[in-house]
Order: sequence, then structure tokens, then C-alpha cells
Amino acid sequence: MAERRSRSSPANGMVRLAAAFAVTALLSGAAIAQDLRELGVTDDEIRNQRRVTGNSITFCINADSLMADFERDLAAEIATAQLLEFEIAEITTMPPTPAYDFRLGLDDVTIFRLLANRCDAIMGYSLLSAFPNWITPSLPYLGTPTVLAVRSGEYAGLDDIPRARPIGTRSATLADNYLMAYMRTLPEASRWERVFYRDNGQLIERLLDRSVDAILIWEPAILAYEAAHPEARIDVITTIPFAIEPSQFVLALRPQEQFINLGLSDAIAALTADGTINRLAIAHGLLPAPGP
Amino acid sequence: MSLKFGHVASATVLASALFGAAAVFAQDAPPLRPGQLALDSYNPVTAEMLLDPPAADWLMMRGNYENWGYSRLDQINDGNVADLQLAWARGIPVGANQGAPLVHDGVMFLPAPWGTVQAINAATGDLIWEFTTGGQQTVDTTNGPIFNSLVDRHRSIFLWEDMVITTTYQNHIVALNAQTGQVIWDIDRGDSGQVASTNGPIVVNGVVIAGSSCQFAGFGCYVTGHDVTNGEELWRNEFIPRPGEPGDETWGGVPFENRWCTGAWGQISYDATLNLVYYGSTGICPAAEFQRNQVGAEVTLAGTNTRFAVRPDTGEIVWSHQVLPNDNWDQECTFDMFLIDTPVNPNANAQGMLAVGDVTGETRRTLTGMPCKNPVYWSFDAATGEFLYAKATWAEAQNLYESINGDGVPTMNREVVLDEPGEEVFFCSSFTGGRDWPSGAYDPTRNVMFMPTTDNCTYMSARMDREPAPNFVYNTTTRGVLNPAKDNDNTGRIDAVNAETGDTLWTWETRARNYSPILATAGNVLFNSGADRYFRAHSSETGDLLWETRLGSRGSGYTVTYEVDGRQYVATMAGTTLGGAAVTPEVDDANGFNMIYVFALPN
Repeated sequence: MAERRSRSSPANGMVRLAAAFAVTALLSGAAIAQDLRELGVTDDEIRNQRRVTGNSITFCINADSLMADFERDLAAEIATAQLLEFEIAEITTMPPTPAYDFRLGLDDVTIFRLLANRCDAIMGYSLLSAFPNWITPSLPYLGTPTVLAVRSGEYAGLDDIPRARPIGTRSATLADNYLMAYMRTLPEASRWERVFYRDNGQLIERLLDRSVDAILIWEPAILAYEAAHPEARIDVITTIPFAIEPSQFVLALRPQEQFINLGLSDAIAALTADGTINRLAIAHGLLPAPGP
Repeated sequence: MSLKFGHVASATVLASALFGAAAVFAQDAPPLRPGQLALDSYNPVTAEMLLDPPAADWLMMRGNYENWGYSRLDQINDGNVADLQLAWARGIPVGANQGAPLVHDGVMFLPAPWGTVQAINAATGDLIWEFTTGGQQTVDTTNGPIFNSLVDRHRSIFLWEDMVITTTYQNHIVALNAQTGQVIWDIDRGDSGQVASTNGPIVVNGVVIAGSSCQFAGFGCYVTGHDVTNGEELWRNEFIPRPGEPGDETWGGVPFENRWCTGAWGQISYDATLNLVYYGSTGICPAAEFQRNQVGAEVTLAGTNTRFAVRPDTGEIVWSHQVLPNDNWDQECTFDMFLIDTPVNPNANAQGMLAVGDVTGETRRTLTGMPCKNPVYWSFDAATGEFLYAKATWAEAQNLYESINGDGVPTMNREVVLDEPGEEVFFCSSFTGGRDWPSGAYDPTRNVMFMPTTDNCTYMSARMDREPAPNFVYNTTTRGVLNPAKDNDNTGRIDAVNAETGDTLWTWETRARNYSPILATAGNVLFNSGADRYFRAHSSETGDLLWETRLGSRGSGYTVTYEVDGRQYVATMAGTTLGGAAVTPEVDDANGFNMIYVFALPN
């Protein structure tokens, strides 16, 4: 567990945040506008200045996310730390976020429109190495790993799984990409069969019905599934022969709101340092409870 | 003629007192809202009218079931088109404004974004009634789930008897009372949020037929047929084969639950003489072959990018032909093709000719057009699917096909297949064209097809740095460039191609992208607008520019023509649409400000 927490430390996130700020500062408004126009966003929308709401901040939360309850509590903590009044706007989407997942089921244009019209900050945005130039991220508030999950007692590690056996991944995720890249370093006869699925629920079901021997999956999904299905017997293997970056979660804001972002990021840093965020994440089942 | 409408409270009184005719409302129509207007009378659109539409009307998306985009009206012609003046204009609700207005007896029925339908006085622009589907137009978190931006497109509706049939972004099919805009029936096809029908339905033999936009779906989609009287589903055709079905073997062992996104959102056509409906399916996601575990496998992905001919009453597939196998490039071969009676004499030496079938010298009923984004015309025998020819707009317009054999079976260019992580491929055209949904037109008096295309190409790679979101279903990153084989810097073009021979008769080019449909008329005039906001009239014979005027924003939707009280009007839609301006950043292509502009000659 200690190793997992160190991988998700905000220290890495601070470096990312600084880099993101630097990148954002270099982007001209014209470049952002051009990217948005390519996606069909109207000139009126690009120019739109969102309503002024005084000393109040609106956090938008994906109500279908596995992280929603955690984020409601965290939003309150952040606002309290910054002496802000706050409102939580619950977002539901079509298509909805599937079970055992966090991903907001919206395209970039719609996220832009949410930030322009409704949300000061969208919670649960996954900070990865690429994001649209009209979004600026806060300091990460939570890192959660991708793990290898197997049926209990069957395997102790990836190398125990016989070659050519099927391993499930979620299509086109970083974990999927890393698995493909890793297998390309192996002789063809030493590769497993990669089977891709669209969502975490499918992944777990296919593990348990023996369609695949192992799955690469976002750890909170396994924790939530086990909480809902105590009879499930799943082992989590954290040591994988290739590094998979943990999913870092941030608040997504508009680039012109750097001042607000700095305040919110200060609050996140303080809540990380005093253990509040870690406590909330464990309480909401996003991180494993510490062992005895 | 004068239109007959009034507030509902006075509708019957007006009808009897002013016009001497009883108002005809559907018996089960609910009462109108206070203040809502309604037509006092309405001449039903019969099946016979749809088979031979009156010249004064524009009864369906492309003017007829054969998808010609051609009008027999000639009051506006190549001799006087330069005198056109604005007759009226009207704002349209926000969203991508890509609709095709319909006109019947002086009433315009207009599909607006997010499923809205408006009835408008076609001579004055006055609103009569409006149907809306609810609150997506603003991103309001308190008003139900938020949908993704791409489902706002609402390109066509259909008139049948006394109903307006429409599809909605929630994947419903709805029948409205044409007089009042009120709902007669409303059926839910399911899968809301993952499936919509942006191009709307057609109705044939009393069967409503609607396709599906499927790019957010974690499964394959369908075309459905419904009883027009109540919406009951009569048949449903999926595209992707299930395990054990014919074609399953072409998927390289990919589990059925991992076959996603194949839909049919393009324009549907109908041949009454053959009693066949034609539609085309799209590609697959994710796009990259390596992400589908299919590197080097002999996969064609049966059911994708395929043209189908089916019986409208039962959905029985009579023939099908895959025009672009193993799609890695979001080519979406779902777009409209024309039904054309023509001698078949393809010229093997015609510019861009890729393949010629065995038929020469015979007259056939053909299905001819540009089904994919790739700017390649295909021609088939409409009755049997026999391959006749395939031809690119020009020799280096595309590099996706390595070859096409005499049976019309393509071999794809392996050089441009995404078969390993990190690889960047270069292909022509781009994922927004070549062509996209904007339709071409066919002039039966000349036997000539006119297609709007864009000469852009694309650098594309599979994304490895970002987890997939709904608009990254193809999970690729792209960068558009002007086709480097060109000897000028024009991107937008119109090509006139002889349907019999495949010969290119003329080409007109312009700097700005051409992302707007074409209307052809008996007045020897083509109408088309561009990303540069010019609405243009061209000579059908030569392509020469006859007239142009500047619109407020990008040409975005369909252009139609109609006649009211002896006066011909030309209506075009402008406003919000996709970009494509990265290649031409200097073009003043204001995006947004949705409008319909209607032009006519001076009274």
C-alpha cells in the first residue's frame, strides 16, 4: 500500500500542474479559439464570459461516478478551506458513466460548454499527459492505481500466467497501451492474448466467468465490486513488470481562471498534507483500508 | 395562395367563417397551448405525391426518393439568377444547423438542431408552430442528462399524409400533426445517449425507416422499420454479424461484444420500381487495427462500410456490397447515392477511374454516387448490386484503395493502416472529407452528378496519451493538410461527372472548404455555399460562377427551392457546423448565428 500511495503522491502532480500552467501560459487565445472552431463551437460561445457569482463557487460532479460521494465531501472541504460559499451541480450524462468507473461521458465540446455556462470547476477530471487547451487542471487531489486482478489463488504475478492465455484490458486506456507496448518487447511466442472490453464492469465479469485469466483494471473498481459482491474472490497484484501511471484526478477549470485555480490548489495541498483527502478516499472505498 | 392559420381558440371559427372549410385535426390530438398557432387546413401528402413530387413543393430531404437534389422549377435560371434578392430570413435555434427544409402548399417544415421542428409560412418567414424535445440547447445540469454535442444534428424530417415524422437526439421517432405540431405518437428505440438518428427517417409503403448514428455506442447499431400509423417496430436490421452468422469469420475472432459503433446515419433512398430501399453502414471503432487485435489478419469486417438494398416492408436484404473493408480511417460509407437510369459505358481512361466492371452498352437502373468520405464514385446495378465502375474525383485525390477489381472488391493500401502504436500514417482525404454528409445533386436532363468535396488529407496516429472519451471513440489524433499533390492551394471544389461514362465534365475550385450540399435546378443553375460564407449560383453546364452573395456565417445546411403563388424561392441554411478551417485560417468563416436565408427574384 505504501508503494501505491507514493505513486499517487501530489508531488508528481505539482510538477504536472506547473507544467500545465506553463503550457497554458504559452497558448494564445487565438490558438484555443481555433481548436474550438475546428470542433464546431460557435464564435459566440468562444467569446462568452460566464456569469459572475460573487464569493461562491460551483463544483460540478459526475453523479454517476464511483467517486461522486467522495467528491461531494471533498468539494465541501476545499470550499471551507478557502472560506468560499459553494454549490454542487450534479451532472448526469447520456451515455451515463458505466458502473465502477469515473469517466465523464461527455465530449470536449460539451465540457467546454459546461465550463462556460455552469461550472467553475468540474471534479473528477483525469489528468493525463494530454488534455484540451481550453482546460487547465488544478493540483491533483487523488491518485489511484491500475492493478492486475486475477481469480483468487490462481496466479501470484503476471509472469505466472501461461503465455497465450487471455488478459483483459479496457480498450485504449493507458493500461491497454502499456500492455500492448510491453508485449511487443517479448518474443511472439511469449505473449499473452490481449482481449479488450469497453468498461470495467465487463472486465470484472469476464474475469469471473473465466473468459480471461487476468485483467488490468482501475483499483477502485475492484474495491467497489468486492464491497457489493462479498462472495467475489479476486486477488489484486500491484507489482506489474511495466509501469502504469496512476490515474490522477484534478479539478478542471478554464485557463483564464488561474487565480481561482491557485487558491483551490492551495486547499488541495493542505488537505493532502493533513491527511484529510486520504481519509476521505479510504472512507469512500477508493483506496484500500490500511491493514491491521 | 394564402396560408390558413390562426390561434387555436379561433381555429375552427376561422376555418368555417373565413375559408368555408372545416379544420381537420387528428382525432386524438391534445389541445393546443394557449396562443399556439395552427394551420386551419392541410392537404395531406399522399404516397402518389411522394412518388412524383409537385414541382412547387420540396417534399423530402433531396426532393425525391431517388436523392437527386434536383428541382424542375426554372423561373430562376442562368439568365436572371444574378437578380436574386433576399425575400426573408429567420433565426434558428442553436446547435449544428445542417437541416433540409421541406415545403408543401406554401408551408415550410424545418428541422432545427436538437430535434426541433418548425412550421413556417414559406412566403413570409412567419412561424406557425414549433415542436421541441426539451432542454439540451443550453448546458443545464438541472434539466436532465446532458448529451454529447454531436447528436444535435437534425438534418431531415418526412411528410406523410397529415403527419410530420421526425427523429430526436434521444433516439425516439415521433409523428407530429402537420397542422398543429402536436405529437400523434412517440416511440423510443432505446439506447438513448448512445444512438440517435441525425439524418432522420423516410416513409415508404406506410413504413417509417430510420437509421442510426452510433459513434457513442459500445455495440453495433441498426436500421429499423415502423408502422407509420402507430410507430410499432416491424423490423430491425443490424450490420455487424453475430457469432455464427455469415460474415462473422471476417472479424478475426474479435468477440461480438467488442464490435462497436457501426451505424447508418446517412441519407436513405428508395426505388419504387424495384421496391428497394438503400442505405449504407459506417466503420468501426476504435479505428486502429492494432487496437482491435487484428494486425496483419485477413479481416474485412463484414457489415461495415457496406451498401445495402432491402425490402422496405420486411427489411429483407436483397443485395449488399462492402465498399471499404477494414476501415482504419473513419470513412463512414453511409452517404447518399443517386438512383439513375442510364446507359452504362464507363470510360476506363477517365480521370481518376479506379475500376470498371463487365457491363457496357446496356441501359441500367443504377445506384451511383459517393458513399464514403473518400472522394470516390461507385456505381452499381440497383436491382442486383452488380458492380459497374469506381472513380475518384481525380487521380491523386485518395490513397486508401490500393486497387479495386472488376467485381468491385477493394484491396486497401497497407501503407496507411494503423498497425502499430506510435505510428503516424498519411492518407487522403480527411475524416471530414472528401465528402461528408453534404449531399451532391443529379441533373436528369444532363445525366450529370455534381459533388461538393474538399481536397484535404490527414496525418493520423492512434492516441496513446489519452484515455478514451466519447468523442475519442476512434481514439486517433488527426492533423489536416491540403492535398500535397495539388498544384494550387484551393481546398473546396465541385466536380461534374457524367453518370454514364464517369468522365469529369468540369471542376470548379475555391480556396475555402466546401462543406455544404448542392441543389441542381431546371434553370441550369446549381446552388452551393461554402465555409467562406458565400452563397453561390453556378452554371450547371460549365460550373461558371453566375452570382454570389455573402451570408452571415458558414454555409451549413441544405439548399432547397419551391414556389408559392407563382414565385420561386431558394432557401439555404447557414450557421453552425464543423470546422475544417485549419488548412485555410485566413478564410473569414464566422461560425454560429444560425439562420435560414430565402431568396427570390424581384416582384
